[in-house]
Amino acid sequence: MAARQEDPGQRRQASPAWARDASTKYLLEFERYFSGGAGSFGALHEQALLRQLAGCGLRSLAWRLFLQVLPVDPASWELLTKEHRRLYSLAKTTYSDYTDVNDTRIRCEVNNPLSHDEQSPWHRLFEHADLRRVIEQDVVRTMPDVALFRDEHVCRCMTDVLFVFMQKHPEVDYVQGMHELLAPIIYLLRREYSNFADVRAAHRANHYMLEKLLKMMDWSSSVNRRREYEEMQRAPPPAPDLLHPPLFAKDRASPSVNQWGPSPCNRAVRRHLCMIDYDLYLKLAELGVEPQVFGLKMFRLLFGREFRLSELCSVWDALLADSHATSTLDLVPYVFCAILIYNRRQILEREGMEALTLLLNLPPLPDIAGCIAFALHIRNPLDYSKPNNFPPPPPVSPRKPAASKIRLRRRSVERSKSAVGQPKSEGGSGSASPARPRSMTQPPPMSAPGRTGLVGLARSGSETVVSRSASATVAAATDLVTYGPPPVAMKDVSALRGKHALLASSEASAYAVMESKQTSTPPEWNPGLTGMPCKVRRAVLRQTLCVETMDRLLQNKEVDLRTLRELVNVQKQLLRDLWPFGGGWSPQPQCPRQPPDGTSDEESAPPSLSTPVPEGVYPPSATADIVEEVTPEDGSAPHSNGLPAVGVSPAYDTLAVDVANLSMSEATEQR
Amino acid sequence: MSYAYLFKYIIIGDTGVGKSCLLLQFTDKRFQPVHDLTIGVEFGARMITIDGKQVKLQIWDTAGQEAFRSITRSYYRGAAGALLVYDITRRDTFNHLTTWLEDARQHSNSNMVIMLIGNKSDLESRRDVKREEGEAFAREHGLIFMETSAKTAANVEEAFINTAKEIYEKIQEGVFDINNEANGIKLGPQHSPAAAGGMAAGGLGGSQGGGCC
Repeated sequence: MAARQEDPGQRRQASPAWARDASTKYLLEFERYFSGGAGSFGALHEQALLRQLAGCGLRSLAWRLFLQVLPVDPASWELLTKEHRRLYSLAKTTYSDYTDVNDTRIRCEVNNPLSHDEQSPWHRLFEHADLRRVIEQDVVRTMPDVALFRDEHVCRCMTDVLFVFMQKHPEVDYVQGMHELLAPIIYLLRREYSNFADVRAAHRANHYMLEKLLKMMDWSSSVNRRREYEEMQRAPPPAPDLLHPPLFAKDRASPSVNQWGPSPCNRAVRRHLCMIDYDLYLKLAELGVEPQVFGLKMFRLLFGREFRLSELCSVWDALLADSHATSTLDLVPYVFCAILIYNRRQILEREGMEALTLLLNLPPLPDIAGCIAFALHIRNPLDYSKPNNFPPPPPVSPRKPAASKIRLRRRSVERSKSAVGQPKSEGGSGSASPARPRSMTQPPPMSAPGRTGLVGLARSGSETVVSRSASATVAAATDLVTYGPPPVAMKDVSALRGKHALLASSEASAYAVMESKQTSTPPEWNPGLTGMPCKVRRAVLRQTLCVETMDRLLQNKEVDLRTLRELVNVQKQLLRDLWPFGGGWSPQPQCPRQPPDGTSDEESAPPSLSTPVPEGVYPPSATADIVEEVTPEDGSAPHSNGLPAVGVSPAYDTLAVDVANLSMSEATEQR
Repeated sequence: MSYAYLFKYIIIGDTGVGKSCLLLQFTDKRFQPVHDLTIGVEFGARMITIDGKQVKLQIWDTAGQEAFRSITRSYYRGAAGALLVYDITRRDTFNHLTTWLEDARQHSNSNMVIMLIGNKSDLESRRDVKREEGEAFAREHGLIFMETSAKTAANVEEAFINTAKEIYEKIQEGVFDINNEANGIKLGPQHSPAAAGGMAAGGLGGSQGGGCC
């Protein structure tokens, strides 16, 4: 990744010679990104992900490529564009053609304005008029603070696009918010077109290439932008996973089912946030806020309310570029998580209504590059390193001098060494949730060597030479646990060897954090340093079980493939069960935690939209039997304070040990 | 800040009638001529005083479009009060009141206080629904009625506060079971059983007091 970053963006800034001349700039950009030659699209793609397209004058063209409105090869662009424009014009006139109301061949009982017959041309006319009115009513409210959208012509254009789109896609109902997806496209095309028009005036017909560009920019004239929106609507929604049910699909299910597809938000939190920022996850669970309450907007409008318009385009660069290969907006849930994590401190600090108010009105995010980089990183930590200042480091607190912190930590190391094997019932994290899967039962007491397996492995890593693959596993795990500047390039295994000790120390510092929990400052985002050791283990596991790492292991060693698969399955199952909303267990904690002063539980926030599943019921799953095997059956109750106590993360610990033992035996073998 | 009661409100009505503007005027005392569309729900809160007691209003502002109706419905249940809003310059928003009311009655608790609000009263020249019609509708369905203007702030405070007063009275009469949070009412943390002496019987259990099990 680092190697890729050197590319054009920076070089462009470094060469003022062509930056000075706008027309040359266009030419070079075209040459570099749109020539269709080897690597040009790849370069464009990279630039988009790195937020380097902001200065590009042909950004809308890039979007068209990402959305597959146009193919990568420029040869057919002109032809295709003409065709798009023709089709759009045709559609527009066809759908707005009501001449059949004068058609005398239709029986006049049907063909009259008062007819209730659905076949009546009048019926269609009135329906269309209604739809137009509804759309228009929303369109005039697009982005109140952007002057462009107060323009009558623009509003009419947007209404037309949406109207034609609705006609072309009868399976989709018009839903408020669609116009806000159209807005950035209109904005971008308008801006680029007017910029380009200036250049054209100055350099009329000087270059053959410029002429060619002229034609291309012509696409962004009012006609084609409509087509593009249609394409946009068409292209992303196939995402079967993310947008299921599709963003704006009609509600065909029973009325009890939420038609607006809340699942993406809930899933993003359950699947990703839970693993990336457990404290925040617990906080949300504790607040009782379903992610869809604040997440719906972000998913529906693709962050249109979270960023300023110009910045939004940068975010979309990345979203669209990323979606090119798969035609799914795969990055969206990760950006969603990144936004939450960026605001984590504020969220963790607040209680009840204040927290809710914040969640529903998150402040604009200044660091877009960081946000995108972070989203890419949390999706694929092995390929993308963590950006340095995201989430932002905390302000230095004068109350906690560094020296005492170190002392505390050292003490904790001692403690963790002795206490690894013992369940610990304290650990009152202020943000910890009472939520705890009741369907999970406690494991049988594990032998000390078993319990210390993973930690032991990590510790030994600093002293002993372990196999390359095993060290990669631990390194991957370690990195997740000890995320923090400076980021570690995952591929550099040798550099990582020294990091193994970090696993142990992070576990120790987790104790330290627990001890210092009395202070009201919320923990920093740093999965390994924020909470209880079992959480650390969870994070470790997540990475340990990361399929890619597994693959790596498998490539080098003869590890039992079936065992690994099962472990991964179990992990997935457990994660599913962990989330209190709509998972396999009841959202109500068995024993609600009462705040000491009663102030913090004042509001239970929005009414839950989910249907609680009876306690102890696992969702039907192919892996259910595996869970049975792994989960011990002693049926002991969860902790009374609802917190997963240290070392008592039931199945996780079992798994952790299994995985650790696996890696250890592998390491031994190699030796 | 401590409070004696917390009331949950919901604002419902057709799209574009000024629900979000009413909320903004009430919580922030300002008016935004063009307001962002509400996608899903928005949320606002403000403290008011009734009968010398601090009452916190937690207000859920919902999207008006039919497509969001299923979301809106799930908010009725936990609400003590509802502001049902129509636009006096658009008759269709008045015509849809029956549907809204049916929906609200069906999905809320039976004691929910509903205030009918004819908004945009500043636009007298474009008036499409007579004041008397609103009054008649309210009378017929047992609602409180007011005409407001989120723009000039006329009657906005009153609309929210009168609803709260009505809820408060119902509490005094013992109509609401304050221990059941599904009613949209919660006792404040400092509201000890002694302080709530005048309350209806069965008002206060120990569970609200903050004792841990």
